[in-house]
Amino acid sequence: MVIGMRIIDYLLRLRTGLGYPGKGFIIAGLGILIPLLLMTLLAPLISPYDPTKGSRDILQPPSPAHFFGTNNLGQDLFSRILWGGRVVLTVVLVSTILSAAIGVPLGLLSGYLGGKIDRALAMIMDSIYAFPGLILAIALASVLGPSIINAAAAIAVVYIPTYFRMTRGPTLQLKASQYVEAAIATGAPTKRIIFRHILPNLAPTLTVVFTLNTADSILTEAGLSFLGFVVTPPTPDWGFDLKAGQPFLPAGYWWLITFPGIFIILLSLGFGLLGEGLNELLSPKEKTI
Amino acid sequence: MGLGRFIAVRALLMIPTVLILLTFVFFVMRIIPGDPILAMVGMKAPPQRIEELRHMAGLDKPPYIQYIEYLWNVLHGDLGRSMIWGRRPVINEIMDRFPATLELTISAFTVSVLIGLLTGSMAALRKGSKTDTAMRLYGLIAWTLFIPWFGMMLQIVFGVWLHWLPIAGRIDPDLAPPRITGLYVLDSILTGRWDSLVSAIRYLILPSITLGVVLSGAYTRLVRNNLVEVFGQDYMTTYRAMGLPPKSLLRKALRNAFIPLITMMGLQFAILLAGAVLTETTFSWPGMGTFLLERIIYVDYTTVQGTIVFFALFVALINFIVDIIYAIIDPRVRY
Repeated sequence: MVIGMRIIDYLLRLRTGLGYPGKGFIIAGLGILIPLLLMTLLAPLISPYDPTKGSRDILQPPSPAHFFGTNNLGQDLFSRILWGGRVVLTVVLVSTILSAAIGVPLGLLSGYLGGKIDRALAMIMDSIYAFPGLILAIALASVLGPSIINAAAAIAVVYIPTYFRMTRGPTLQLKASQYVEAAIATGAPTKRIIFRHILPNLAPTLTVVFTLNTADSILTEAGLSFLGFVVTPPTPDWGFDLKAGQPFLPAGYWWLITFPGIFIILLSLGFGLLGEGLNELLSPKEKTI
Repeated sequence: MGLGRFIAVRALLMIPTVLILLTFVFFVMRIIPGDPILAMVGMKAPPQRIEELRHMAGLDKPPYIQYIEYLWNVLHGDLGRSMIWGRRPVINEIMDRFPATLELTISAFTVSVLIGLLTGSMAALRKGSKTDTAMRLYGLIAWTLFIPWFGMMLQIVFGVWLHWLPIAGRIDPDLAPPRITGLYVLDSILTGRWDSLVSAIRYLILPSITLGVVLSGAYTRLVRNNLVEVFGQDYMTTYRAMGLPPKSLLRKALRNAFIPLITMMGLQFAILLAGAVLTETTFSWPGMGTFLLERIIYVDYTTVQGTIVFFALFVALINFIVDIIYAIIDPRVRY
C-alpha cells in the first residue's frame, strides 16, 4: 500500500514536472530494461532465423543479413541472443521468486518470534551468506546436473540468506517500535501484527533488495551458464554462447564473444540502475550523503 | 578485553560456524541431490561403473555414518582421496593448485583497492560534481562487467590485436621457477630468476586487471562515502582552519576512512574467490577454480566435495583474520 501510494505520488509529480529522488537512475534503468524485455518477449516474432538451426554461412562477421554475425555452426547470433534472453530471464525470475518466497517468511518469523530458534537460524544464514555465492551454486549445480530448473534451484539457495537478513533486521527494529508494542498491548493476534503492521513497512526495502538482487543473480546465472551448468547445446543462452565463442578468440572472431557479453551486462546494469534509483525514491532518509 | 582474550573468544566462536558450514556442505553435496554420482555422470555410464564410483565415494553407507566419518576426517585435515588416477589425497592436490589462486587473488585485490582509493577520493573531493556522478556510475558499471566477457575483451585487444601480453596460462612453461612458496612472483625473486619474474608478471597482468576492475566498484563507493563522512567531522574542519594543504588533508582523512573498509574485506574476499573461478576459467589459470571444474567433468566426487569444504574453511579463516585485524586497529571492537 505504502509503495503504491508513493509511486502514484511520484507519477503525479512527474506530470507536473517536479523532480523526484533517483529520477535519473530510474529512467536510465527502465530505458535499458524495457527494450530488452520487449526483445525477448517478442523473440518468436522478430527473430530473423531459427536460433538452433545451422547453415553454410559459418563465422560471418556482422552484416545486414546477420546483425551480430554467425558462429562456427552457421547459427545467426542475433536470433540466438533474442531467444537466449528468455532462458536468462526464466532462470533469474524463478530463482529470485523462490529465494524470496523462502527467505522473507523465515526472516519475518525468526525476527518477530526471537529466542533460540532465531539465533540459530541467524547463525546458519550468516554462515551461508559468507560462502562465495558462485562456488556454492557450482557445487549444487554439479551434483544436480545441468538443466534450467536445477540452475534456478542452485541460484535460489545462494540468495535465500540475503532475503532472510534483509527481512529479519528491519523486523527486529519494527518489533521494538511503539505502535507494534501498542498493537501487542491491545491483544492483536500475532498474524495480524505481522501482516498488517510489519510486512507493509518492509515493502520498500524488499522492493529495492529484489531489484538489486535480480541484477546480481543475472551475473550468477551467466557465470553458471558460462561454466556449462545451465543449458546444453543447441539451446541458446548468453553465458553459454560466450563460452562457445572462446575457442575462436585467438583467431580474432570478436563478434562471437562481444555481443552475448554486452547483453548480460546491459540486463544486469538495467536492474542495477533501477534498484539504485528505487533506493533513493523509497528510502529518502537513507539518501547517500 | 585484552587482545589475547578477544582472539581466544573469537576462535571459540569459529567452532559453531565451521560446524554449520561443514554440515551445510554435506547437505548440499550428498543429501539434496539424492544420487550425486548419477547426476554427475549423466545417464550414459553403465550401472556397474556407477556402482563402483558410489562405493569409492563411500556413498553406499547409511547417511548418518557418512556424516560422522566426513566430520571426523575433515576435522583431522583429511579431505579424502581422489577417485581418479593415482587416488592422491585431495588435500595434496589442492595444495598444488592453491598458490596459483592465492597469487591471482592477492594481485587482483591490490588492483581493486588502488582503483577504489583513486576513484573514491576523486568523487569525494568533488562531491556533487559531474566527477562524483561519473564515479558513481563507474562503481555500478564495474560491478556488472561480466568477468569472462571483460577478460576476453582484454585478451582480444592486448593479446590478439596488439600482441602485448599472453592470454592464457601462468608463466612460460620453460621458465617456471623452483617451487618454494608456489607463488611464481615470490619464488622468482627468492631464487633471483629475473626472466621468470618478468614472465610471471606478464601473465599476471590481464587476469589481475580483469578481476581487480570488476571488484573495484564496491570500493569506489565505500571510499567515497567514508571520505565524505570523515570530511564532515569537526577535526577535519580544525585541520582545514589550521591551513593544512589539501594533500595532507586527504592523507589524514583516508587513514580514518580506511577502518570501515576493513570490516567489508571479509565479505569482499568471498566475492573475490567466486570471481577468481571465472577469471581462472577465462585465462586457463591453473588454480582452484579450474581444478574444481576439471574434476566435476571427471566425476571425481570426493575431490569436488573436498574442494568445496576447503573453500568454506578458507573463507571462515579469512573472516577470523579480518576480525582480529579490525580489533587491533580499532580497540573499541573488543568490548
